[in-house]
Amino acid sequence: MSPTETEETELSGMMRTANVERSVPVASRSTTLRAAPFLFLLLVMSGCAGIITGRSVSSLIPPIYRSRVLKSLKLSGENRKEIENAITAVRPEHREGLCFILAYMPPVDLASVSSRSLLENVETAYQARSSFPWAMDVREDVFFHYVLPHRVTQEPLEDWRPFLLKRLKPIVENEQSMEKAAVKVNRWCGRRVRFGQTQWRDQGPFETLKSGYGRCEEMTILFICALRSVGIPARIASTPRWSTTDGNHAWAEIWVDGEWKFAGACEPAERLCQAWFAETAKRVALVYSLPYGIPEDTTDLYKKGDDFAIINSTPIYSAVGAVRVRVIDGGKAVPGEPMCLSVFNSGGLRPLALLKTDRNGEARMTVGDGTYFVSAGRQKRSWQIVEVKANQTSEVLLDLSTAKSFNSEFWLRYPPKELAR
Amino acid sequence: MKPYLLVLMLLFYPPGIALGQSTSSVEDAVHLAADSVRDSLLTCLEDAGQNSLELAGAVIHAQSERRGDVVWLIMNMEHLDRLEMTEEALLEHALYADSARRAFNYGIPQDMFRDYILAYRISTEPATAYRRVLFEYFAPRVSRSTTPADAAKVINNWISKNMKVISRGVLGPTQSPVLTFTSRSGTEEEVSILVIAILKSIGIPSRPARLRLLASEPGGSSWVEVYSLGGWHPLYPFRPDRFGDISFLEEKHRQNVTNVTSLSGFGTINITSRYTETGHLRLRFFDRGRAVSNFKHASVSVWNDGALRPLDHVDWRDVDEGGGGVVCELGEGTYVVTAGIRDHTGSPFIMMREVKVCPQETTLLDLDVSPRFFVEPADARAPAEGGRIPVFTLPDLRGETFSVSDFFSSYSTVIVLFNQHYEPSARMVSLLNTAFMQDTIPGPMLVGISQGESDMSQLEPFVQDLNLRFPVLVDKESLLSREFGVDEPFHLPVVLLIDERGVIRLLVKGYDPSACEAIERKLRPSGEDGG
Repeated sequence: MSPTETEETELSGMMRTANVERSVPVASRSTTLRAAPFLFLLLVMSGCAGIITGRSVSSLIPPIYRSRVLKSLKLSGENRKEIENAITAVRPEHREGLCFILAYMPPVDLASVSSRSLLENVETAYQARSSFPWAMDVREDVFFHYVLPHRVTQEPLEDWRPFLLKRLKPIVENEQSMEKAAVKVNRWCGRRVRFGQTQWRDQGPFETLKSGYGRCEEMTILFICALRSVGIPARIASTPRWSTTDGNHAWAEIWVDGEWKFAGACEPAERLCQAWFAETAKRVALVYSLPYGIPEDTTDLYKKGDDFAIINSTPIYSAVGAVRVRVIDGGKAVPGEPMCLSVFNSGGLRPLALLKTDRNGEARMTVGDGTYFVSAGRQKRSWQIVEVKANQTSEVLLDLSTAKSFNSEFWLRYPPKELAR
Repeated sequence: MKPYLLVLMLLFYPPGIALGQSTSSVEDAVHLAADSVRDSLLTCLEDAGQNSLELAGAVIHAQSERRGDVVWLIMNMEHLDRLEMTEEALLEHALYADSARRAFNYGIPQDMFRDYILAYRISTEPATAYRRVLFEYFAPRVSRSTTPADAAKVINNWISKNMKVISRGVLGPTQSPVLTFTSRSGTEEEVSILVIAILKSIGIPSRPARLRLLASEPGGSSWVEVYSLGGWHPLYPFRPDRFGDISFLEEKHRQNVTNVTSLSGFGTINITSRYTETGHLRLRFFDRGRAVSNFKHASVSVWNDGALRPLDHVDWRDVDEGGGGVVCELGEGTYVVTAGIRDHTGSPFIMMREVKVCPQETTLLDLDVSPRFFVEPADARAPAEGGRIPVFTLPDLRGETFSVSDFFSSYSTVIVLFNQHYEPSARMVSLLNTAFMQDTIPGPMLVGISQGESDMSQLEPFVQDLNLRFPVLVDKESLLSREFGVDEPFHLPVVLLIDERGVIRLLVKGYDPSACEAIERKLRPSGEDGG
């Protein structure tokens, strides 16, 4: 189903605004720069007032996010005023949510987002939270990480929330069940968008709707934005490489009744956990999920940075085991050494997980049942084939002092479909 | 900057130009374009959806001497750019590219202008305007430079003193050049993008250079190339002291320069031989003694930061003589060739071979890709290879009915069962359609049979958008899927190759991109790996 003419006009208008906003900071587009000399005088004359204003914004930020938000304000550069305006203008009961978003906002968004956009995103999210029975019951931390965020991954910044809420509200408002509402949202997306190859850069939800097609990641971005617009917690999940076939895939995970369930984006499935890749996923090597920010429950983390976390959610899909790799050189443990688990995909052995050994020269990873190519080393190199079995830990020793040739042949075996999970 | 030029620019690009006016229309824009490009321009504007009015507006409102440039940009930009680009940004690119070229008069050859100055796209940054902001800031700073290289050195020095490289998390797109400029910070790639944006804005042909993977060292390297006085010169954003020094890369990474790519216009080119001695690697594949063409499950890799990593941007070319195979150009060094074949469980048998690539030589590697396994036992209930296709009579999209025998052909027939709502089906239908349109699989008919779709308003757009050039029948009840033991639509597609008597010569269930090469092998005359 193509967008209606009214939808097209609205989409085009919103995309144009978004494109202008993300190209330069909002402040730069205003008359601020032309009035710079005058403003400079004003600032000098009202120096104390400026310091007081800065203090009041800081005092509005909840302590839990204060240091992060102050860092974000610094990173925002010329766009600082827009963000400060949002912090002061937001409703008090929504301020913590806004500050959570700002605490983990990527620098490229901080440099260009408008206060209008920030406020609209937060207010519409809270509006949906109070409008739907399933949304009201969502825990606050889940709401923050998986409903409130303004973006999913690397798509362009767009004000999708009011647009999608307006269209989806009539479709889901009579549902009592979150799962049924999610299925209806997926059908709505699926009637508008199908799979199609695009370019390397990700399309945002508006571009995907306008095009009528997108890659799996783009369809997933649209689907997750649609879910979040009606208060359903969702995140993107992906396998960087299938192990039993070529390619990769991205889809959505939805928090329903205290657990994560999955859905193929824009697919007309009748329930969750029903998708074309469900069988292949039972033999998956690795699945990553991406929250916004860093959830407190960090037991299943693959990687963590200062402002991001990547969750290893493989156990949701397949039977998993662990592999523990120890890297030595001449008998001594080697800390800080790069280590990698690879699978065969698209004609080559491709990294699935990249880790560094700890101070004991060890690294550990949870992966699906199967066989993997494990390697380590910078200039010196070592590799082995390791078999990982469900609920067991496989130990691998990689000795960098023993050079190993790459002239070799081997199988990487995976459980047949009928035995998977 | 010469004052008269500023006046000229203001005359041509008055502030507050009204944009997106209702007077712009696609038809008007196409009418203004040269005859030879009208059809292509129309296709590109249709690809832009309703943003076509923005792009059409740029064609209509461009000065006549720049209209060809605007049309060229629209025809070459990627799909997402067509959805995002504004009339204002497009006109700015055309105006400032031309004005900068004339303002500085470096004697840039005409054939370099579009690919290396006008082409705005550098990497994965958003499609935004950047030339005016960067020109206004940097043009005065290079006004005394007499050559593009001199001007580039000024920019190089400015970048190394004023820009800071930062790392980013996993969220957020690539920053636009103007944001990188105003924030004075960006990732290494974003700084390189800014450098090129600045150079283009002041009329200097430039392009990104990228060495994605070093051999035996972590990571890769990216820098810029600048065209001056008849040649390309490397510019390393944070090493102005090494401007123009081709040997710098090899000095830093001795014998580890694998494959260097750049951008010409909107397409990728290989420039490895500018930076290191190169040789060639040729691979040939054999299945039970017979040469195999189109074998896709192989790659060349390097050791990099703890892992073997395939060089995906190598330019492989087919070799027609001497057993066929493929060949590529690589920097002198040691590589690992990997090839694999999967069995019915999807488990791959992998072959790895170390190879040395020597300057001015071709290293030949033959690989035996014979199956080391056997096909899974066929489901006794379902039709299998060697059996006959089930008899059916189904309607097409217009309601006209056909029986299966209508498609029997002495050239064989490929039938694909699909459900357009699921990615594997959409991918497979697209692959087959492309293979047939390009005549990669010459001879057989192709027929698509939609499974489970009763709503023509869902099926017809799919057929039109993919420009499917073969008959599509409609099996609303998914009867054929059930015959083949496929119970769920998302387990499709099923691809069949049948002969003129309806005997199944090849049966592929599920998405398998190698189905096309399997069909091609089956169609070869007996004695050439056919059968």
